[in-house]
Amino acid sequence: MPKKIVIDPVTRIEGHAKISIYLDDGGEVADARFHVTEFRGFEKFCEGRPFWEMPGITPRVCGICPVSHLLASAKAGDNILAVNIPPAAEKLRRLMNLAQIVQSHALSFFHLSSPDFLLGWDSDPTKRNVFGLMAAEPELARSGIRLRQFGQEIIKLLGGQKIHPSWAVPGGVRESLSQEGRDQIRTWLPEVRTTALNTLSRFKQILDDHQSEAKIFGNFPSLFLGLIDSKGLWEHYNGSLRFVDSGGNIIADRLDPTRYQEFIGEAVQPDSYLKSPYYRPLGYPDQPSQCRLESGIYRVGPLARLNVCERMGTPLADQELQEFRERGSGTANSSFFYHYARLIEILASSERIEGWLDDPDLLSNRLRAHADVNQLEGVGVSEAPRGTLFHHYQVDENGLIEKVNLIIATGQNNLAMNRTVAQIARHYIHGTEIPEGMLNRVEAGIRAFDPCLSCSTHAAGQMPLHIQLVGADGKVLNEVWRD
Amino acid sequence: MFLKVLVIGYGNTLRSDDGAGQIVANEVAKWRWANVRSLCVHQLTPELAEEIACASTVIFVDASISDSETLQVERLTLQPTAISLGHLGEPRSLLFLTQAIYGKITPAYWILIPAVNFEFGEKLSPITEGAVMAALEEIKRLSSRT
Repeated sequence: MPKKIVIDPVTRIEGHAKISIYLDDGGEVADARFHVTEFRGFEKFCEGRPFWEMPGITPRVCGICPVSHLLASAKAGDNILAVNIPPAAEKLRRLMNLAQIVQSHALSFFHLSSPDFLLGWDSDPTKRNVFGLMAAEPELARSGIRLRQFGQEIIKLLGGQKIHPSWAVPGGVRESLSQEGRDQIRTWLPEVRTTALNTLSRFKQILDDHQSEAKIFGNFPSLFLGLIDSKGLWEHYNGSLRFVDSGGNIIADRLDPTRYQEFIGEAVQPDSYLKSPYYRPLGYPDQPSQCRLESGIYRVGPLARLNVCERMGTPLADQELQEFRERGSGTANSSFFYHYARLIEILASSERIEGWLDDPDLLSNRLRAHADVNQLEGVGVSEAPRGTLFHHYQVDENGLIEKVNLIIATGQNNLAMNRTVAQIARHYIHGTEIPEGMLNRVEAGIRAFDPCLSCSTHAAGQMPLHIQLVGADGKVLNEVWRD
Repeated sequence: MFLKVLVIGYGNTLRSDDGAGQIVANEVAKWRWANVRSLCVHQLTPELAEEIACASTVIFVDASISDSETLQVERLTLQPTAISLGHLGEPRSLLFLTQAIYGKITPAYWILIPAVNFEFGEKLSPITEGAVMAALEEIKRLSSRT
């Protein structure tokens, strides 16, 4: 008799999620679904607000990646004003975005994911967390904390506070970097680079020891989406969009991000507040067999960004990218490589910050372009740590929001997360027994994507995972909760 | 410079009484005492461990649901009774972390301000408002002892 396993809540992710695993009559996994069960409604309650307020409102979606929303929202506002912001303002926004990438990736790797591969998938769950890591590997834990501090301090130096800084606005930014702030950043950079390189070295050992996980943690063909610059280099703030397939072939290139609706469709799931974006020309993959090159499933985030770019554009990161591609056999398809990609992006971010630090524009007071409503629609796109982020606003003549559409990175990875859960579950679950270590591996598959569920459902909360095993008759045969 | 007293006030200032911790920390910051540093944060995060390691005493300040209308002051011991981050982050866990990573055991106090209203809002209830004043006096007393 077919059964369903449900994992509710999922632990060590941001937000509240549930996983349902469906078994067939033979007790083997037939399918899996990743549900996000929280709702907040930013796209609705922002209607009627002045678009000027949106960079202040939308970062409240999340306390981990508010900067991403701040920047995408400000860019949508730039569109509505129809301005090119001053060069200094763009450079400062880029600096903040890189800092955001560093701190968010540090949180994901050191606090959320590394306990699994450093302490063991089957280790005591009460210790398999950041505090267990700190007891077992204090030096590594200390490095991770300081790495996150580095990113947060830059955000604070620019925006006045680490969380929800009120800084980027339509037309530019409010403040530049101070000389003192620049000097502080400069003193931290050597340690940041050392930490990134040491952790990369450590992770490569981990990768060697976890080849079996790398093969089954979300290892399937899909498209990948990310921003690139005019030379095809790794890009995080502007540029154009590129889709590549699992073989690294460019499927669509130099796409204008503001015309995203032409190539990204959004499907609604009946049992989740998380939408499922897909690549429109190839269609929505509504059949289990459509995990192939011809379906529209795509991934975003660090793995995708490294797959779509020609190079990172900085020397140390480019060396690492080369090795990354060798280990991933070209275009990396295993979601386990998200962890690896995050570390390379931390390194690239630190190199870029170091290269820009002497630019006098960072201290400039020419920071704003002033205008009124010149377009009734604006789209702002940037790379959040978790992937490409779209803010799309329609306004009236007075600049009041009439419609909002937010496409969040985690939402774009929704279909891929479903496939990942199914793949891991197929490997480990046979029958109604749910070993704890298996549960953790299913969760770890989700964690590889570093989902931000508060953002992607524009939802609130921070709760663990619920797993439910359900039969074909809908009866719950087994359940596990994690607080 | 070795900081003497670190005050960490935490909570959500948009949730009425839950903002009491940050309000206290803000007021302490205004004193501008040379040996006291005050941090206002939304929640306890691992990054605070380094700050704690640099202090001779740390005072955590938070709102707390309680039947009593009286301020509670606990002397904290090093015990990871609630290992967590975020909204449920526990001072003891942070102290454990500080000891694990920096090898430092910092004497700590936890001031719990009685709170009754956690609805959306920025005003304190009369009970909490009174307890905030008591918390400030307690911090002055604790700071003068170090």
